[in-house]
Amino acid sequence: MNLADLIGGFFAALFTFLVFSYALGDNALFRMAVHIFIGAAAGYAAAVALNNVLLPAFFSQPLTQLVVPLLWIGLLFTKLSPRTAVLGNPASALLVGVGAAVAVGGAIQGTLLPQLAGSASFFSPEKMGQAFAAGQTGAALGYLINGAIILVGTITSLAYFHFGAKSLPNQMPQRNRIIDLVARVGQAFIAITFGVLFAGVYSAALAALIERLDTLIEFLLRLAGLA
Amino acid sequence: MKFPVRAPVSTLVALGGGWLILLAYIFGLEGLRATILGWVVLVSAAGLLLGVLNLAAVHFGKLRGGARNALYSFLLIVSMFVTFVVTAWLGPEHAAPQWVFDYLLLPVEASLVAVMAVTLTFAAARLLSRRVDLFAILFVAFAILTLMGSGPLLGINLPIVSDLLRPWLAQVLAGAGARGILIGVSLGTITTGLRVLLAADQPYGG
Repeated sequence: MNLADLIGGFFAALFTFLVFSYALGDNALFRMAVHIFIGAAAGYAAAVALNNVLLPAFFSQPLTQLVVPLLWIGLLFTKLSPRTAVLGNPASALLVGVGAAVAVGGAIQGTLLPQLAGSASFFSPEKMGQAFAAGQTGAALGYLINGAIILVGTITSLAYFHFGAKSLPNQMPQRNRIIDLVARVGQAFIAITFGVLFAGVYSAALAALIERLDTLIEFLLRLAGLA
Repeated sequence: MKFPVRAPVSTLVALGGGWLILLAYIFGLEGLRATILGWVVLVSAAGLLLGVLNLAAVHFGKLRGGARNALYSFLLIVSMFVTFVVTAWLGPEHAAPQWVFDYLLLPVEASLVAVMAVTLTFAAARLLSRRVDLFAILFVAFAILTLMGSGPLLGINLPIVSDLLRPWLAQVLAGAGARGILIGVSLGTITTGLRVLLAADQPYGG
């Protein structure tokens, strides 16, 4: 173990202890660790953005191609002062407008269409035909039943987020009865989904806990010359 | 339906940039799309720098004002400054920034995730003590079932639970709910995006 690793191991162990102190409740040691972490993470992210995005672009492109982005960046930096901040709004607007367009395209192409195609694929006549032709009737039926469950789950889960309600005089607004019934089924699917997701996150957290404890023990053993 | 325009220049820029990207995407104008996205990537990187500067300025203000928790602000500014200077000067691939990454950022991130194991256990236990209904029971029961089937219990993989029930739960029952949520999120994203592109929402100041 060289000196840099020794000091690094000491700091890693120290920060692990400081963060673990949160298990006893929010305290000054935990806050110190988190503030140091936020500072280092922000500094690291800023330096990476400067080194890997801004400087390479400025040194690799001719000035004529940089005039427009430099203008936007200049406008954005007017936000540093409250007096000139209003000048930076068009630069923020560019980020918001382009971000919205990219998000719309991404949501349609990256999520909506693949998810709809995934739901429909269970009912593909071609796949069913192949399975029945191969004599795999049980497998084909199982596939069909799973597809039906997924379809029902998807539709009812979506219905759960339908919050439209009819308001009647002198009464609380009420949801349509059918929608309400369908939404309750959806709520059950959502509860199951969150249960399964919770188990996944919990497993990941446990794995991280074991890794941290293992690293700590290994460092302490090395320090004592026992490993 | 009226959409009052509070800031004509900003609105024009947002609509112009957004619709150009959408039209370039629809008509396959890759050059135009790449050019605008290239600008936006640079402006976003500058925005990140601006955000970090703002964070430093806020904490510097707290430090100068002698706020009660000024020590935290001092630690944040010092760690930010040292990490930024070392990483910007030597480059992110150099051994010194890598040391910061390996021995500070990574252990703290992993420890925060590890602490989550404790807080999640408390949260799950509290859920059943505060709210006992069908959905809470379903949530906890399926979480336990999935955990039981996730790995060997005392060195033994539980038959049926590990190889049949858990995959079916994850892929069919949970998959159905997740698909509904994902479709809902994408519909929400499209609606929000279109509201910005139609200037119904103008979240960029006046």
